[in-house]
Amino acid sequence: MPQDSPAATDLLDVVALFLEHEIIPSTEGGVRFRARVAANTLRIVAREIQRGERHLRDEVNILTELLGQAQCPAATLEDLSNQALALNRELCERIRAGNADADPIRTRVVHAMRKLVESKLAIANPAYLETDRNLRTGNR
Amino acid sequence: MSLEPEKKIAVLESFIAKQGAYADVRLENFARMSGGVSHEMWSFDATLGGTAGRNSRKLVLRLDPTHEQTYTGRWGEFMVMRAAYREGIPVPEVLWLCEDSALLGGPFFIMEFVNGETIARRLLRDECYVQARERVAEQMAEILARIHRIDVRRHGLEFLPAPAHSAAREEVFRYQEIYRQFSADDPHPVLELAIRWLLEHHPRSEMRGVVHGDYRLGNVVYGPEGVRAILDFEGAHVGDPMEDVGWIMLRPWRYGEEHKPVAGLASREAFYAAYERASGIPVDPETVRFWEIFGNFRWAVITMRDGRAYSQWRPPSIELASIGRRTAESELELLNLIG
Repeated sequence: MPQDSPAATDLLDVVALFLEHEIIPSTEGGVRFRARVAANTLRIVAREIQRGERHLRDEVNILTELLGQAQCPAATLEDLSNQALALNRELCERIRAGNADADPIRTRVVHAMRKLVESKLAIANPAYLETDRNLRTGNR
Repeated sequence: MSLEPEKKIAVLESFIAKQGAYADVRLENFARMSGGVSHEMWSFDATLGGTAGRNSRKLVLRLDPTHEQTYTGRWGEFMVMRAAYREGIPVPEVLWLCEDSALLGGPFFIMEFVNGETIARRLLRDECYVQARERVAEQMAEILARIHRIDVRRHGLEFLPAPAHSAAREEVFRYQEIYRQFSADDPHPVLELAIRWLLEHHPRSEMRGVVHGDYRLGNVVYGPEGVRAILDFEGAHVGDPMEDVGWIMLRPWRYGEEHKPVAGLASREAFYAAYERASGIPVDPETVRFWEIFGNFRWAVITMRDGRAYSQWRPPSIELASIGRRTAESELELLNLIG
């Protein structure tokens, strides 16, 4: 039986709004700063609930392809998470062994990493990602 | 992590009485100061009574947390700050050191309270700091040149970690080692790429000096007229002074002012020129670039370490809890710089 309404992300949203509209304007100094961090943290959790699984699937797909491994479908979220960990370990070992020092492999690795890091930032800090994109499309 | 010195006021009072040879010490108004992720700082009012009468001073207690391993330890930081103070560098006067953890649960020292603002964003935004905004970057360059020139032998600072050969390679190894403590559970391919790059591109020639180790706007006390004091010497070591110059350029401390890479306040060129005027040492932009890339690697490792420290010890610190999610920002910057 599913939980009753509202959804978890909506609950997080209302607490973040409470912090942003009531606590932050009425406090100062360290408490105000921490209230801002707290609101931001709730926003991260909400985005992770919405996009976390999708991120993990993308990560497994991108790394499997990069490493030239066979796809094996994951049954549960935990399987997926374990696959991502194993793939990252494998890639790290190859980089440490010097296998990604030269092109064209290095460029492929950098390209894949950019996709994955951007996908992490879409959850952790989308505003930062946006600024970074603007800077790079301008002149950096 | 909270050791609540309020509960140990009597212990602290008798410590200060003994150290300062005061007949009568009263401490009150303890307040936790913000910004301490790796340590605790408390401000308090001290009434110190002796044969010459009474005086009141506002002081700061700087306390080691139980889990943190710093470069210098509390004793080392005390020694470096005392040396800086004696050289006329603007730092709070350090007064008394206690290495015995039995008193407050960790080593600590007591220093003078320097009144002023430490929230970096305020300098960039608030109207009352218009003048300071013009000055702080140049002042930071001048002060940095003086820190780099501190004479290690004159001040008994030979204990500071010093590189045997290449400071650059040894710093990379140092942070690589920290990362290796958790890389099996938490592998980060971007950091592996960074390590390869850094070991391949380290500067061929280096200078030597006392490196502050965390030189950025967040560790500056300022007022409307400009810099009042430099804080946080726990990362001090002997190394290449350009390490500090690269660190101050990092994006996390530009606060969104991307067109002013130095603390959101000044251009690289203006900072180099001010540093060169004060030190007489020419700045090589390529060397600074190496240290900026190293700085991003180092910051990524620190955010990972802090995030993991939170997961392990669960200190009730929202700053510590949220910092681990900032690793991706450094990873993206590393890809921008070495990709």
